[in-house]
Amino acid sequence: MIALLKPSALSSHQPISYFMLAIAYGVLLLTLTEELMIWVIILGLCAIVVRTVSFEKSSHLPNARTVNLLAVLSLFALTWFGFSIGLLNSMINLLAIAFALKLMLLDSKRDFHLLFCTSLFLIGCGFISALSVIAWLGYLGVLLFLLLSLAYYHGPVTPLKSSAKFVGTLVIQSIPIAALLFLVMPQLPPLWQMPTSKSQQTGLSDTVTPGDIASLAKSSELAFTATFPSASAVPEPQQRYWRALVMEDFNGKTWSIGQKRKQAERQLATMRRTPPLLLLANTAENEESDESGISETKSYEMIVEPTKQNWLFALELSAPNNGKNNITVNAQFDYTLRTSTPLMSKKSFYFDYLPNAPVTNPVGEFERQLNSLLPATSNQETRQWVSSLKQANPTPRGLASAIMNYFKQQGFTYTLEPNAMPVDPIDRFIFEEKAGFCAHYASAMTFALRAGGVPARMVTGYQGGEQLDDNVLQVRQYDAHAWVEALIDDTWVRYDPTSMVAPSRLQYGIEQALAEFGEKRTDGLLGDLREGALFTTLQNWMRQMDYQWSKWILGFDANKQKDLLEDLLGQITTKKMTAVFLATLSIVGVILLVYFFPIQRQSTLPKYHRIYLNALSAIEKHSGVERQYLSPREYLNKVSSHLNENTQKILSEMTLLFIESSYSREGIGDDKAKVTLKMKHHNRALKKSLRQ
Amino acid sequence: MSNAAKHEFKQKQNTSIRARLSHRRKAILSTMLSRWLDKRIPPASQHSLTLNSIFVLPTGFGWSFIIMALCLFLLGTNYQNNLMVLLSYILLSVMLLTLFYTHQNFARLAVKSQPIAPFHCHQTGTFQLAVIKHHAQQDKPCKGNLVARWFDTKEQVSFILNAEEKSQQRLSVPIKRSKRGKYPLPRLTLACDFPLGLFKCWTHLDFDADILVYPQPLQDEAIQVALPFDESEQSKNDTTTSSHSSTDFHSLSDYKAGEPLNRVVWKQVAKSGDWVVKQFSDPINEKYYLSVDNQIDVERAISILTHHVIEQSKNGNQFGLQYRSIDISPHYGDSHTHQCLKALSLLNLPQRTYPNDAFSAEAASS
Repeated sequence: MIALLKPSALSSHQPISYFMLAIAYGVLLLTLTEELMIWVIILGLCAIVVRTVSFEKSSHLPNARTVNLLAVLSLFALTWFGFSIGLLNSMINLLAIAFALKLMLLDSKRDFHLLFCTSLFLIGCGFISALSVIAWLGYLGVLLFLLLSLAYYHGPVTPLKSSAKFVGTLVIQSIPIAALLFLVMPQLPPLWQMPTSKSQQTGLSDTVTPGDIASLAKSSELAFTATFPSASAVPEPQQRYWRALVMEDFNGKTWSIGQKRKQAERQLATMRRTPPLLLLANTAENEESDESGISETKSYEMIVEPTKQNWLFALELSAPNNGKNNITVNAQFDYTLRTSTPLMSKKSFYFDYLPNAPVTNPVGEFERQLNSLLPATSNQETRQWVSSLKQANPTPRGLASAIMNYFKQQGFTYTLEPNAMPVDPIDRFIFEEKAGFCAHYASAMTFALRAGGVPARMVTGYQGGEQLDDNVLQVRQYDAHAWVEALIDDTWVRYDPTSMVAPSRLQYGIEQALAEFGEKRTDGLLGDLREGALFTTLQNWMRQMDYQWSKWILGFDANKQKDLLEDLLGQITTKKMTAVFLATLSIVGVILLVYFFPIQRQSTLPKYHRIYLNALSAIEKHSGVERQYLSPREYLNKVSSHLNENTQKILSEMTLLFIESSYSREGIGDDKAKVTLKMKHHNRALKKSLRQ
Repeated sequence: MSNAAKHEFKQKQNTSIRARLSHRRKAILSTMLSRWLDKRIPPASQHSLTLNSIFVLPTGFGWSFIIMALCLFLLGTNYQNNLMVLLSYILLSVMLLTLFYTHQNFARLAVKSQPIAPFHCHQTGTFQLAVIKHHAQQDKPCKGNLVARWFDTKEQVSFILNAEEKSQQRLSVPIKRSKRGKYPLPRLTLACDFPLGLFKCWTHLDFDADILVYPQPLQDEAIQVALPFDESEQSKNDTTTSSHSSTDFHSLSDYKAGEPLNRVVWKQVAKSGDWVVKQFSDPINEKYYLSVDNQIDVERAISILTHHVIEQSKNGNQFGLQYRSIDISPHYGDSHTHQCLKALSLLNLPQRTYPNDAFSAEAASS
């Protein structure tokens, strides 16, 4: 029977592959809700519906003109909204729109391939905001599904099941190679500045209106994880001030960094003056080498959750260890830290902790002037109160402690939900409400100090941290905090007025502090559930997993790579690096060898058959006559003329024996061992005779 | 001759020389390529693909896949996002593995050429190819979409290889020629991008066969073709039996393809299944030679003769052929027709230096 193949125009698997691609696109749309605008998602879902409805007949699809019109409209809408969502998100939206429109017109192999590549890129975009293990596994699933649609498309008669099996094997096989590449390929620093999205900045912001931080306290999202070299290196709870931003400009309501400070920092940077933090780090290093062994600095590692911002927080005070950091961290003259690119993903940062280093005034009069400014008229009551305090306590230190004492003694309370204070907020806070959150206290105290002629500024950051392991601290958004720095004798001294009102805030964290005032950070059923033992264990387990994932996968960088290789190979030299690359190549080669040339499985043929084949191959080699598809008897006749008499005789006996045992109707049954033995004997004789 | 004219002439000469040189270079390159291919994939009627006979490169889609993976790597590096980097590594490994899978699949293909029937020029002939079992890969067949194309043309046909089908699969590849004659069958390019379309495997197979292209038939009533049968010739041929006319029954003989069906002994066929025809001994009066005046253009004459040969053969007449160097005595049947047509197609063919010449000339004309 012969099947004559007619040239095939289209593969019958086409509609199903298209449908699968559409489903994968749908899943991607729903996971990218953070980046995509609502109308883009709706457009995408409509395209999927159109594709599904026209599953059988492509005549239901909209024509090119309709789609072009839609494209023009979408482009207008995108340019309109583009300014508010930032360049990065505009790009992702554009990609999603283009996909949706093409999906409606999808009719050729080229388009299918184009859409496949686009969806790969969309998966990549998904990783901008989703960094967890679960997201990774989910996107891996989407990738598998996409590859399946591709395999199904290209295997016109291959059943879905075997395509799925193939794709599964392919991805599983590719993972070891990818992992090897991940370990060995150089981890590069960012090559150029990429656009960031505007809408998704999380955590602290660069302006503070008292009350902002209170809303942050409702979130228990992770802010960062700090890993110390040992349990003893972890600072005491009271010392855990993570400095982020310094607010020096006050407009009566809101604290912000201030234009003058920004200009000054820019100028100082162009003048190439070394920031005091780096000077400190250098002297600490020198001391270390002088005193040999007794080190004042403790290095630690921080894995920071993506803030989409440039500023970075660290223990007060810490110097960045830029030799290890993948992203360069710049120190500023107000002892804050800035990264060279916004933090878009979790990465490790390395710092040296300088616990007792002072925050000095590095630029002379400038900071003194900047931090003495007050809005002209507001909050008169406070000004009068401060001037009376100042008469009693003329020194700056005295004034500061008097203010602190006032908070302690006047029955102030610590609350997440203070009343709104729209007019003269500081007057109202100090003399009427007497209830507020850390930012209220910090704001009031800074104002009071400035009114009393002491330069002061507000510092925001985090305070506290939960221990995950003995040497691992995790800081969450609810640990956000604000405190005060006053310039006394050319040194910035930290005052934390909140600690006067709620002393347990520093020692035990916010939950405990609020509990003392009869408040809960989170309310409702979920809050109660959190206290259950099972939940805590589960949560702890999840946190541990997330920590390891962040540390080893997300936070894997050049430094960890170097450590790992040094653990394996000792001191790294150029020669060794070359060897590592060669070894990687050969390992990949071996992996491929194992995949594609598996070891010959144990043959299922009976033993006498194998001996017979062995003898034949010896004969083939000797005579040069190949058996090909000849039957045993035919081959015997063919090859006989090339052999000497003795060999001929043995071979004919072997052939006879083989035919008898293989084709006899009763089978050989118990005689199997005997036949095998005979065959073996013949084979030996044959080899001997061939050698002569 | 003025200087300007001289200069112009020189320039013209130069350009013509350059054109000739580039043509020559192309010809040399194509011979070198064909020689290299002959060494690498020697001509045979049956091919089992091996490491030596397969070429493999990424398709356009494969390249865009690689570029996409590199873009993801850059994006991941710039955002310091290891998950993107890891994704790009996975994509690159998938690409690497697919290279081997594509090759492994294509290396399971084995094909055998079927004898190719002659066809008229400007008509489409069919070259048939059977998919057979690969001698080294007995258990697993080649899968996917097989695309076939002649080495010297752009048009391609694609076939779905179906491994599940029990029967032997045959691919028929159309072939066209615009000039009569005998050609070596060009190399057939077979390509396959199974399983993911990221890589394309292909091979150029030479099936070591010739194709005979009959002249194009041309109907032209104005030209006299029939030549009455020569009496003296007839007396020579008198004793030979013929099945043409129907007066005296002479004997039974085996049926040959092309003999008129009205002379088949159907009773015998029904009884034993043997196809036999009645033979008659009567001299045939409708025997004649086909011939045209030598004055007419050769190609035209050949085309007209071709038309008449086909007509006569269809009617079951006995005919001979006399034209220039051709002299074929009257007979009938398919093999006779073939003989006549073959003689016509090979008449006065220009000498060929090397086989590819005909194709390149043809490619240029088409």
